[in-house]
Amino acid sequence: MTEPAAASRAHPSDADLVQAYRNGDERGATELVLRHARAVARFLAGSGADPADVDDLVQETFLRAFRAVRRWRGEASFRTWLLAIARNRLRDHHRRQGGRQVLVLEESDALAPDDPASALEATELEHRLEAGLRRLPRLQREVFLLRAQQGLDYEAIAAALDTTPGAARVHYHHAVKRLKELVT
Amino acid sequence: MTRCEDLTDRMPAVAHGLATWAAPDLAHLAACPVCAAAWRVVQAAPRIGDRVAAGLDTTRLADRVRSGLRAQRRAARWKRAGWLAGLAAAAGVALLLWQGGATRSSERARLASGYVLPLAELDGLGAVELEDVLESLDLPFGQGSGIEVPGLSDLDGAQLERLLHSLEG
Repeated sequence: MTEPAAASRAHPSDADLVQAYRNGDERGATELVLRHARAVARFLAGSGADPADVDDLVQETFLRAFRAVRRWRGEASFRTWLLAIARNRLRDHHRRQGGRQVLVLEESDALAPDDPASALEATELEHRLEAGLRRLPRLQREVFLLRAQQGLDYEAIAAALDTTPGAARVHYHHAVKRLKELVT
Repeated sequence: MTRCEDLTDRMPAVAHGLATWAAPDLAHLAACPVCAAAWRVVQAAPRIGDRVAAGLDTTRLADRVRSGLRAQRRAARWKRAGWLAGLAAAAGVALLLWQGGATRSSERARLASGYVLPLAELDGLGAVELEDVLESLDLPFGQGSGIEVPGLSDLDGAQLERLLHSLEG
């Protein structure tokens, strides 16, 4: 066996796993869930999903992704594609709930005195940042999360949010400027 | 592009460990309060949602996703089976209608033969007429049963002519 083939088997790429799933190997799906579920959960939480709903939304995201997996052709990374689906799931979820947009957390909510463990785990800055994010327009918030939380480049963000890299860059800079004001 | 914009653009890559600050960048961050504040925000961003994500049982989630996918496949199979059953039912109805038409046709032939061609009259038929009757026994399914002659509407002009001749004796 050649070295690249052995490496591919030891640590298959997302494309390999997707292909395995398409060929009927459920382990491909399992590995993709294990690999990306937390990133999707973090994005949904940052986007304003109620923490109690995140688990179901992540599940829905993967089910929707695997159902439409033939449409993923690798132009965007699998994670970028998942995040775009998660974003749409969250929008549908809010629509079903009667147009509620995002869960607005006040700073006092974020530092709830009856949840000392949680308060210990997250820094004050993160709490303020989460609260600040919820005050941003949706697109600014999503661009900021994809760029700063997920580490995507502007091209990938543009593909995920159906916009241009230039527009994504402007949204990111606006978001950073606004968050600085809200956080400090 | 200003130096502040450039640094702000590059902050996520550094925060994710994909790049590092050069010495001039660090000097700028130390001197520029605007960039320092932006860096604090971007540095904290990768940890947003960590508490929620940490509570996620990914193994159980993967099990649920697999179950959901199996349920989706079962539902798709049932849907396909439903379509096939629908097609089969439609084909069955079409067959029944077709057979019904054939039965009505045969019924007409039976009535016609009952009144016009009683079995006793077979003795009076000539070889050609008897051949016609025999041929009718071999008609394909649906164009008359094996024991009945065709209806009048099924006969061609020559056959009708012969039938009329047989009536006249």
